[in-house]
Amino acid sequence: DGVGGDGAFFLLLDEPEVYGLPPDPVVTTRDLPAMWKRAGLAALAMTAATVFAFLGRRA
Amino acid sequence: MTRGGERLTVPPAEFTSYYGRPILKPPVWKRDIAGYLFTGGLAAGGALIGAGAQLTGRPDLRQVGRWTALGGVTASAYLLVHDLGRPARFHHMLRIAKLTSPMSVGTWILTVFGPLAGVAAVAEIAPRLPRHGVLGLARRLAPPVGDVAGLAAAATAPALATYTGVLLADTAVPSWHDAYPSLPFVFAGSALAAASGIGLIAAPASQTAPLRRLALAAATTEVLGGRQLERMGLTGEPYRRGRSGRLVKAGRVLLGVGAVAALFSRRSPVLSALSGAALVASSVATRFGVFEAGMASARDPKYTVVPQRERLDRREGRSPAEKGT
Repeated sequence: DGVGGDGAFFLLLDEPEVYGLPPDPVVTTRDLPAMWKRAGLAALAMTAATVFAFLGRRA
Repeated sequence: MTRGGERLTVPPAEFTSYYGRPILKPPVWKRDIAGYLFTGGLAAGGALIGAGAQLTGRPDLRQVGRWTALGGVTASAYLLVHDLGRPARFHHMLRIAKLTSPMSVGTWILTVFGPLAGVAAVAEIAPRLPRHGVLGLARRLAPPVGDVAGLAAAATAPALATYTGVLLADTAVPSWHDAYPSLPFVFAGSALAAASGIGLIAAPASQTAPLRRLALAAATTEVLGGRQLERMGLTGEPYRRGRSGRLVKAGRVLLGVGAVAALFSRRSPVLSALSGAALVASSVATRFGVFEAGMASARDPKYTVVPQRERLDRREGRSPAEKGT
């Protein structure tokens, strides 16, 4: 159960695709902690890149 | 991705239109948002360059960085308000702070970053003020105030550049959501590349040595972080094919050309400016490419249905015979 919680019920007599519904939906917000973690790592990489660039020898 | 003969590809007519409803509501975002991805990144990169130049005693580069940050964040505010439709809606966003909404988090990041970048940039006019009177006082106060604001803006800049990756990924749009590990790195690299480009165009060559290294580091970050995009399987397809695929590819080529040209441009102002222009253009192409890729994946139901059906079949042990399991 990728969506969680019950909203409305539909009795489907065929595969969900036939009714224009996704067969295995998930709430994408489920991955939000992992997403913020990647954004945090990218932010660190950005800071590190800037420090690396400015700490190099002066030309 | 073999699709011939698999039962999962239900004829499109059946799942594109059930009472005329698409399977996935495409985002209501207009091109403004693609533009904002670029200008927001440019502002963040400008603030970081401004702070780096400030701390290493490069006043002309510092000025260029701070003006880039202010220009970028002003354009961002315009684009976001234009996309929302009415300025009042931006104010409504400030009535809540919600960690589970990247849009809310982003609104707050911009609200903190914008004024700081503005103060840092305006402080740069201090040398042009008269020496005496009230303006003389402002002339003496502006540099330290600008320095503090510049550092504070730089501290929030990485968040401004990378949260947009979460903003796109936290949607049901298949090509954005599946790309969530890559998008922040692509955006971080693209932001630094764009701002380095502006610096290479506008700052005197004697102060741009860090930008040549920064452009290289930016390209490395973007390419390493983004190499997963095309390898994602079906949902990676919009990053390889069609209009969006061409934009992503153009962005990558311009990035490589710009970063390499920057390394060899120390003695040539013309080559410096050209490499800078390539870096800026690369960032524009990458942002619009990623934006268009997501839109393309939202419009075609196969990107929503096929991966989900495969996942479902795998879980229920009904692997298609073609896969040889």
